[in-house]
Amino acid sequence: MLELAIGIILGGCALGAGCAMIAGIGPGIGEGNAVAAACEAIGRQPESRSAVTTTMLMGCAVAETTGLYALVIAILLIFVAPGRFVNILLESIG
Amino acid sequence: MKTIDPTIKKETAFIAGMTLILSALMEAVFLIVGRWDLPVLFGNLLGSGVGILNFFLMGIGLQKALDKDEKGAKATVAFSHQLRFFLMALALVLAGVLDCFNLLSTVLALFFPTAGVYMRAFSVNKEAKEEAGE
Repeated sequence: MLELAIGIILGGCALGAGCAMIAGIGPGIGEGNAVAAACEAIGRQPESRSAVTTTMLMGCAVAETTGLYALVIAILLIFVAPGRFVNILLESIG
Repeated sequence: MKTIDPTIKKETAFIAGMTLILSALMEAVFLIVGRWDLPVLFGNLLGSGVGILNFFLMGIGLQKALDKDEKGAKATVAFSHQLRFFLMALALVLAGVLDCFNLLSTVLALFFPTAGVYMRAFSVNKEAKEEAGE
């Protein structure tokens, strides 16, 4: 029974980590759209390339943060959470 | 080989400087709390190094994408993003698996470049306001 409970905890953590990684897709799409718009802007006003590049770089770095959050949550679910949850389970059993 | 855009060099230098300052602050906090040890330092070095490298690679990816058409730019950036995401995941897995890295300090250090970007946005806004005031 204990093995089953530990298995459920590990499976839940792995599933949670996988679900968290779905958030990693969004920043890629968002960055692609931002760069496509920047290409268009530079095509229209080539002299503004430097200013557009700076703004785009900052925007992309901020957009990427959500992906990083997801990655960190996934890593914590894989490396930290199972141990904690199993400890809680063992303590509750006594 | 194509030269790197001066804007990217400038921004990366700023982000590296901010990351260095924030890393020093974090080390000081760990020292004050009494939880400082070598894994904290190594984790900090790994996290901040990967964070700065990620920002620099993003700049290079964007520079390449700007020379392409809309569809090509989207594909280039998406590919670059996947590669950099993999790099960060690798760093975090290393920090989780190896005992010589502290996971908490690695995770925190990975967010320092983002904090630097927010600070940069403030300074850019200030410069714009000053220019508008002149």
